[in-house]
Amino acid sequence: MTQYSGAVIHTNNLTKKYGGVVALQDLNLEVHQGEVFGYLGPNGAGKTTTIRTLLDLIRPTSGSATLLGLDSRRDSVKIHAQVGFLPSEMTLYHNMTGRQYIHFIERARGVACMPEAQRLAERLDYDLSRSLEGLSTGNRRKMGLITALMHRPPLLILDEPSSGLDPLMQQTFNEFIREIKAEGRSVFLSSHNLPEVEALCDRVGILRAGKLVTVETIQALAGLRFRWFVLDFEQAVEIGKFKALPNVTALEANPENTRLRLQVSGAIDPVIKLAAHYSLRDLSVEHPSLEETFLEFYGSNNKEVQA
Amino acid sequence: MKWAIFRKCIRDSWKGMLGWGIGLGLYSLLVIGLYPSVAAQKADYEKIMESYPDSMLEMFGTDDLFSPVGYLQSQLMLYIPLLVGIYAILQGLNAVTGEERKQTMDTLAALPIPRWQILTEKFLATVVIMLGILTQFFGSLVMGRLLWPELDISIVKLALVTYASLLPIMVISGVAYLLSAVLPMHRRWGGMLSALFLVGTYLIYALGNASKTIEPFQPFTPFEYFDAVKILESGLPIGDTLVLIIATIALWAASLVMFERRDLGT
Repeated sequence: MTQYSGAVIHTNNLTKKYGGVVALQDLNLEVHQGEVFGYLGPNGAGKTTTIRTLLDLIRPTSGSATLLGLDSRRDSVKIHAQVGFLPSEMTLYHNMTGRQYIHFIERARGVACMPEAQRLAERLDYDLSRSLEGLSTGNRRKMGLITALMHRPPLLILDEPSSGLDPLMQQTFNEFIREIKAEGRSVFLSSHNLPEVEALCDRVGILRAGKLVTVETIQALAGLRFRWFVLDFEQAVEIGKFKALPNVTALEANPENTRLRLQVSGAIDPVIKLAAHYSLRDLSVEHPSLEETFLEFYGSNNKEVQA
Repeated sequence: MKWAIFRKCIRDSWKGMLGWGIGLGLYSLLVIGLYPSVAAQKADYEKIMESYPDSMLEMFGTDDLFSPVGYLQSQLMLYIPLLVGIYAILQGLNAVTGEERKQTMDTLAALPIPRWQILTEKFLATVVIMLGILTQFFGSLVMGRLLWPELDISIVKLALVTYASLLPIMVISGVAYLLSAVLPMHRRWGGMLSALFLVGTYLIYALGNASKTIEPFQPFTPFEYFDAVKILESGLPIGDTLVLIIATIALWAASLVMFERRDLGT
C-alpha cells in the first residue's frame, strides 16, 4: 500500500460546465488519509461529475485536483493504478463470466488479484463462474465492488456503492469499509442515503446544485438533523407548552389540537415527558429526507464552506 | 502495452471474423467456379461486350473482363474492400461509441491504461481481425485456383492482392474510428457518416472511371489506390501503397488526439 501523508484528495476551485450549465462550481475539498468521506447530495447535485472529473474521465473547465499527491490530469494512469473505482451505473461485459472479467481486469492492471477477488466473492456470496449476462442490479454491484477492492487500493472512490444491495449485503459492505479504514486506507463515497453515510463516514461534504454547501464531521451532522414527531392525543392539548420546549423548531396542529406534528432537533426527552402528561393515542416518528435536511439547514442561499 | 484490451477485442470478434470470412470464402468460390464456363465462352461474351459503351466497361476497372486477372478484378477484388469495409466500420464504431453506449467506458477508462493505448490496442485488434477475414478469403482463392485451374494466377500474386486490400479497408476503418472518437455516444450518426463515406467514395471511384466530371475526385477515395489488376500484373505499386499507409496512420493519429481530448461517456 502506498504510504502517503497529506490529503488523499485535494481539489482547487474545480469547476465543470457543460455549455452554459454549471455541473460543478469552484469545488474546494480535502479528504485525509485513513478517512471515510461521505459525499452527499440529491440526484443531479454534481456528485458523479466530481468523481468523473477526479478520475479524468471528464475534463474540468477550470481548477485542478490531486489524488494521492498526483495531478488528476497529468498523472491519471498512475492514479488509476492506485484507486479502486465503482461507478454509479455498473455495466459489465455480457459475454464473460465473473472469473473471466476478473482475469481481464488483472491483465489490464498488471497485478494478480484473483485470490483476493475470490475471498471478496465468498464474503459477498457471489459466484464468479456465473455469466455476467442478465445479472440483477445487486449482483452487478457485487461484481463492481469485487473489481474495485481486489487490488487493495490505498484510495477507494465509490459512487452510490450500496444502491441495489440487499440489507444483508449492505452489512457486509459496511464491514468492508470499516476494515479498509482500520488498515489506514481512504474511502471517498458518494451517496444520497443519509443513514448509510452516518453509519460509515468520518466527515461529510454536502453538495447542492454543483456547489459544496458544507463539510461537517458526522457528529455535527447528526446534531443538525431533525425529526418529525406525530402525536395523537385522546383530548385537546395546550399547544403553547409544546411550542415552548427548547428543541422544538416547528409545530403544526389540527383545529381540535388533538394531533400535533413537531419538528424536533436534538434531544427528544422534553417532548416525551410533556406528552406523558396527556393521554396519548399514538406516536410516530418521521425522518426527513436528505433534501429536507438541506433545505432546512442551508436554505436556498447557501454559502460555500471550504473543507 | 499490456494487450488486455487487444485480447478482449479479438475474443469478442472471433465469431464475427469467422462468419465474414466463411461468407466471403463461399462467395469467392462461387465466383471462381463460374470462371471455366465464362472462359470457355470468352469469344461470345466479348462480342456482347463490344456493344456496351466504353464508359460502362471502365467502371469495372479493366477492359479485359474475361482474362483470369480481369475476371478476378471485375467480379471479386473490386468489391472486397467494400464488403470487408462494412465490418471494418462496425469495428471502428464499437471502439469508442460502442463502449459508451453500453456504459462500459467508465470502468475501461478508469483502468491504469492511457487513453491512447486503449484506442491503439483496439485499432491493432481491428487490423488482426481484418487480416483474419482476408486470410480465410485467401484460403478460398487458393482452393478455387486448385479446383478450377482455368483461373491461371499464381498463388503468390493471389496472396499479394488479397493482403494489399487490407490497406483501403484500414482507411475505411480509420474513418469510422475517427468519427467514433469525435461523435461521443452518437453511434447512429457515426454509422451513417461512415456508411456514406464507404458508399460515396466507392461510387465516386466507380463512376469516376466513366465520367470526366467525377474523375477529378477519384484521388480522394481509398479505392483509387487499390488496383487489383495493377497489383496482379506488376506487383505492389509503392506510391499507392504509401498513400494508403499514410492515410491510415493519419486517421488513427487524429482519432487518438480526439479521444485524448474529449470527455468520455457524455
